[in-house]
Amino acid sequence: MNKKIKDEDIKVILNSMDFDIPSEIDAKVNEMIYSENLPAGFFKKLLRTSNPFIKWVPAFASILLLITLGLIQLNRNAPERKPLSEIKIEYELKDKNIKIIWVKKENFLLRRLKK
Amino acid sequence: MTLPLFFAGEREITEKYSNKEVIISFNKFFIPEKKALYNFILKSVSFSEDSNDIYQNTALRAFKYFRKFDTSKRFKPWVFSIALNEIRKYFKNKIQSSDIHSIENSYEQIPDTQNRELAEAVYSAAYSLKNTEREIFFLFYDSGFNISEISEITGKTQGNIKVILSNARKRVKSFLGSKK
Repeated sequence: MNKKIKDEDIKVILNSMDFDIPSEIDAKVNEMIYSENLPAGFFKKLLRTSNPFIKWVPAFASILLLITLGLIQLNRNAPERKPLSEIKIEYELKDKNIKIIWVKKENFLLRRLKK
Repeated sequence: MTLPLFFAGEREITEKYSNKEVIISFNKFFIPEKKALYNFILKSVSFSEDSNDIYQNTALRAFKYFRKFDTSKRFKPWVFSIALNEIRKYFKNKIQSSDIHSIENSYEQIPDTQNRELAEAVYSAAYSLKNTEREIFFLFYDSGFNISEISEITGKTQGNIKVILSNARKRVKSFLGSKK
C-alpha cells in the first residue's frame, strides 16, 4: 500500500464507490411525498410555525403601546404658571387696631393714572 | 405584488403554495442531489442496511421542512445538514442500544475492482475516526464540499473544521501507513 497517499487519491478512491439508490427505496420516498401518506395535520402544523414573526406580534404591539403612552405622558404640557401679578404684604398693629395692607401691582401706576 | 414570505400571513402562504407546487418545487431541488445524499449516508454508516431508512427519513424530513427553506441559499448543504442530523441520531441510538459493533465492517457492497483493497483500507481508516472527524472527512473528500459549506452544514466554525480535517487527514494517513 502506498504510504504517501495524497488528498486527491483519497477523493478518487471514495468517489469511485458510487452507489445508486435502490429503486424500491426511491419509489417508497416518492410515494410518501406524492401521496397523502403524511402525518395528519402535517401542513397545518407547518403553516402555524412557518411565520416566526406572527407569534411576536402581540408582544411587539404591547411594547409599542407602552412606549407610545409613555411618550404622550412625557410630552403632555404642564399647566402654565401665571406670572406674578401682585405682591401683597399685610401689617397689623393689634394694640391700635390698625391693619395696613400694601399691594404692589405691575400696572399700579397705570391704573392710578387712569383714575 | 406579492409580500415577502416573512410578512405573509398563514392564509397567504396557503394560497401561494399548494401541496402540488411544493412537491414540484421540492423535486426540482432534491432530485439532482439525491444520489450524492444517498452515497454520503451509505458511506457514513459503514454501508449498513440502515442507510435506506436514514435516507428515507432524511428525504421526508427535507420535504416536511422545505417550506421553511430559504431558496436564496444553496439546497445541497441544507439537505446534507438534515442527513447529518439523521446520521447522528442513528449513531446515538446504536450507542444507547449497545449495538454499535453491528455496523462495522460491512464492505460487501464495495465493488470488486482493482482499488478494492485500497478502498477498504481508506474506509477502515475513516471508520477509525471520531464521529465528528468522520463526518467532516466524508463531507470534504466524498461529497466534495468546501470548508465554508461544511461549516454551514455542521454549524462549526471554519477554523474548527480546518483543525478537525487536518487531524482526520493525519490519522487516516498514519492508519494507511501502518497497514503497509
